[in-house]
Amino acid sequence: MASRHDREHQMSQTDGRDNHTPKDDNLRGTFVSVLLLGAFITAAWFGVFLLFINRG
Amino acid sequence: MHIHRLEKIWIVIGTLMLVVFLIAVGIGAFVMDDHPPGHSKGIKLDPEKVYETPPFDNPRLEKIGENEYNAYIVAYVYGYSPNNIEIPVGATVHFYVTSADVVHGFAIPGTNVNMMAVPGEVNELTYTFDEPAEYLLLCNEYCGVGHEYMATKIIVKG
Repeated sequence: MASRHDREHQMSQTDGRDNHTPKDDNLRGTFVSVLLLGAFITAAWFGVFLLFINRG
Repeated sequence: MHIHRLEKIWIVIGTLMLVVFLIAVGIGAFVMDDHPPGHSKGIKLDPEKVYETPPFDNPRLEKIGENEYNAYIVAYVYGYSPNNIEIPVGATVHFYVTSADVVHGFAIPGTNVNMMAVPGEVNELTYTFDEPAEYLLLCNEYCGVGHEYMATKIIVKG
């Protein structure tokens, strides 16, 4: 019995969505969001680190 | 089992972060002797006998070199002894701090001085005051009903 992922994928191919299932779009969106959040955290970290260096 | 390509990338990123952080902390702690601010040097004293144990039997600022000082400070409810400490600009001060009763904070806002005053332990931190000003030394660890009034001044003249 094909998994739900495989069945969604089969349906998408006949739809013409061409290898992008809705689930794939969600995963891509989540991944990009997480990277953006990571970038913000990194930037904030450097901000505080610079403060620490300057106050030494 | 099938793992999505993005999930594989994410697992690699996560593992890399973990390894980098572990190495950074490991080198810091074991090679560079990094410690949390103030780190107790393992000196233990009986908190009930603080005022009988040198050097805190005489809390003071002591000059040990050309513009270099040791400050032996006792935190208590609700103040610091000695208070209103005066030093010349450019002075390097080694703060040795303990508490006579409960846990207090020892923080100078605008600087990197920020540690705890713990009964039974001596915490040490060194700072050079390059700018003349009146610095606030305040307690940033809740210590009782008078906590918000617990502060004193470090006056850097120059």
